[in-house]
Amino acid sequence: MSTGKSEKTNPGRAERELMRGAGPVAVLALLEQRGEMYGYELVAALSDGSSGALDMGQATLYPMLYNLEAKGLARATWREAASGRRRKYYSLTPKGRRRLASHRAQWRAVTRALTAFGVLESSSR
Amino acid sequence: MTDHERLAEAVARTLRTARLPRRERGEVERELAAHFDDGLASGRTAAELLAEFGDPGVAGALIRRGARRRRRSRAPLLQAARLFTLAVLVAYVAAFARLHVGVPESGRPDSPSARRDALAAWSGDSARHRELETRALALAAHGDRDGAAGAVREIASGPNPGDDLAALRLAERVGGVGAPGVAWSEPKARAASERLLAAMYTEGEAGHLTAEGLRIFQTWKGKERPSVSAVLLEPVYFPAPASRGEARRELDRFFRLAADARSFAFERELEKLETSRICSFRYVAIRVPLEHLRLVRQKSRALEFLRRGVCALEVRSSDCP
Repeated sequence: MSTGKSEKTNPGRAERELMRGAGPVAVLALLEQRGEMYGYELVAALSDGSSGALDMGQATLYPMLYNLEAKGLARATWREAASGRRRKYYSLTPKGRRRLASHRAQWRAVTRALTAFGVLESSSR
Repeated sequence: MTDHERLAEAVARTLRTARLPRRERGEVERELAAHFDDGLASGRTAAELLAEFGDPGVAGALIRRGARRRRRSRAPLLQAARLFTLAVLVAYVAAFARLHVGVPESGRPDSPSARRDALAAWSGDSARHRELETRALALAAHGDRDGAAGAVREIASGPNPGDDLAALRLAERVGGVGAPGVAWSEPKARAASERLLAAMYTEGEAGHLTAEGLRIFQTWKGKERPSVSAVLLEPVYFPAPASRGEARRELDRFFRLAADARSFAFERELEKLETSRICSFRYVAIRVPLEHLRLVRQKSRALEFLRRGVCALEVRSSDCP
């Protein structure tokens, strides 16, 4: 797992705001792809999958998961893993699935707009 | 300090800042311990895990906020009950303040004797009544029915509705037929009712019932000094008393009904009002005049009955109205 510390210098406000919006969506997307995941697994997946861009302070992840639970977007269950270690597994609720679909549409629109302004490179080029 | 101890210390610091209830604390503690165990199992050192975890103080504060949101969402009924309790409390405080802040139009009597004065019109001048009553009974005992009737009429000539009631009562005792012309006077009762409303309500049509008004009502019921618990319960019993205008309109309706001596609509409506707890508390301010109207109608009827009966015996029945 990359800590991303070398690439990540002191994050600015805009970056923190972006993280605040993108972090929960990324967690919801991961839960949709993998069915269910525990805390450390999510931290590792976010860090690796985003090449460090979404490598949030791990302390931020748990409150974020509690918020997702509070909003009814994710549910948590304690279970014993094959290794015998008890872990808390998070999975997506139907409401979470709907919310993710809505976020996806919004992010696509943002991406299209940023591409149109030349901020992002078009994948078709 | 071993790696496990350093990680356990970070968890403990996080939990200290998070200040969670015991059950949640245990759950978060297990989850964070599992997180660090997984980290160590994946080959990372305690120092790396602690660096990635961040400041336990910040983590604790964030976890506290997240856990609180989760707690609220988990207990919607508890939350609803809390909101309901808060709403009831606010309504209680508002009703209590409304009762106690308002000053009656005719001033704050703030003494039992002043409250009795506010009710004096409904009992009349009792010393004068006693004197005339003694005279009337003595005259009636000597067969001087005209003299007794004169004493009764003298009581009735007083300015208050209480004088009418005293006269009707005395006329009944000395033999109603001996006191022609004794009846209750609506203008007297209306004027006294207005004075009573002014003593109980703040000024204007929209005037509201005051705690002083309730003290006057309690004095009328014979409770001059209500207990602290009774005072505290007043906003519960009187959450939405009628405004002064509403009370006056309701009283007007009863005056109209009372004016019809032949109908029992007044008694029926009064019974309805008294048996409905909501109406009874809502129109508490007109209970005194209504009770007076009920009594004077009862006495007038009794006198009328006596008068007709005696008339039928003494004269020819066809001459009796």
